Parts: sequence; C-alpha cells; structure tokens
Amino acid sequence: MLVLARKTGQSIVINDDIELLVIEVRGDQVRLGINAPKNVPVHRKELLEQIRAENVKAATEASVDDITKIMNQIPKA
Amino acid sequence: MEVRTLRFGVLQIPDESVITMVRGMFGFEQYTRFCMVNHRPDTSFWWMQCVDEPALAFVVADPTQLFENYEFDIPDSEVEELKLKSESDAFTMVVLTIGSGGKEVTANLVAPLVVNMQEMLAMQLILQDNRYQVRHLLPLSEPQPTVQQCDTKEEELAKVA
Repeated sequence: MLVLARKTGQSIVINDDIELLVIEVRGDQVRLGINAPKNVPVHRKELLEQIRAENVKAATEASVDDITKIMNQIPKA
Repeated sequence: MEVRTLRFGVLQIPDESVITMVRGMFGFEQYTRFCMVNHRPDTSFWWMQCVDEPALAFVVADPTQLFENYEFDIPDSEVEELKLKSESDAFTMVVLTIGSGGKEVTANLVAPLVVNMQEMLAMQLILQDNRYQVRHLLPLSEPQPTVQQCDTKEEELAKVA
C-alpha cells in the first residue's frame, strides 16, 4: 500500500482521472472530495463489503421448495 | 438460448430476454448475464438466474409489491451507465435473503437492482441515504391452521361461539 501524507486542501491523483481532495480534518474524521469519471464507482469500503456479504448470503443454495414455502407467507401489498 | 440451471433444469429462453449487468452483482462481479425465472407467478418473487453459472441465482422481488414508501433517486452516473432515457424504462427489484435457518426473509433496500427494460441493462446500486436497511425484515403471515370440517350447522355455530 502506498502511504502519503496530505494536508487540508491537498490532493492525490490516481490514474490521471481520479482526484481525492482532503477537504477538512476534524478530530479523527477526514472529509474527502472525490472527482472521478462517471463510470468509476466510488463507495465507502465497509458498506461495499457489507453489500457483497449480503449478496453472498442471498445467493443461497437452499432448495427451491424451502424458499417457495417461506415466500408463500409473504403477503402481497 | 439454452440456460443450464441448478434449480430449474435446462431452460429455453429468448436471447433478447437476457439482462446484462453493467458490473455484475457486488461479490459476483464476473457474472454479468442473468435471466428472470417466474417460478411461482402466484407470489411476488422471482428468481434471477445467472446464464453462465447454473448454481448462481438470486431471489428478487418488486418492492412495490412489498412496501409502500420505498423510493430513491438514481444518481446521474448510473442513469448514464444504464443508458436510461426515461424514468418509465427503469424497473426496480430488491434482493431477498432467507435467514435464520429458513425462518426469516429480509430485503436489501440499500442495494436495489435497477433494470433498464429498453436496453436490458441492469446495475445494483448502493444508496447513499440512511433511510434503509441492508436487512429489512419482511413480516410473515402466520401459516393458516387447518380448517376443521363440520358435519352439521349446529357444530359449525358451536365452533364459532
């Protein structure tokens, strides 16, 4: 991992087209601004990992019957 | 085209019904082609079956069938990647997770799937707002008790009294 120190107002450029700007540092929280092309997704890491883990859990190998049985108990709106 | 599936055997689907996910599903980024299997038309859920991996399928549902107030804005970047020209071309689905040993169903309201029905392009979004949960519990109706058959009208009235 490349480790760089930045002060408020300083930036890092990644791949010539992604910019990370340190907007504000308050206590142990850093406010970062990100400029990236529209097709480059940017997410908080822990949220991304949570979604990945949930997808993995959802992609169940449980039998169709088990799932259909429980889904029968979901009332339609 | 032929789609081999773990759960439903071999399916024949029209080529144009394949949905292409711009970046796959989070955690399964290499799988981008899916088809919808309406296994139980009497329920509000479908299976989203991966065309290229027989074992990979998600249970998904139309959130308008399950919730009253679920709504979100699709960020401009995703509108562009989905090539969405009109809001009415967007169809939203949420991924359901069966948990707690098969006793619980939750919907992922933080990461909905948006499908552009015109282009058959889809993406899983991650919503930035804090309103929703990754595991939104769906209320389950009680399984109905078996109805006893009554031989006479008197017996029927006695049961209700």
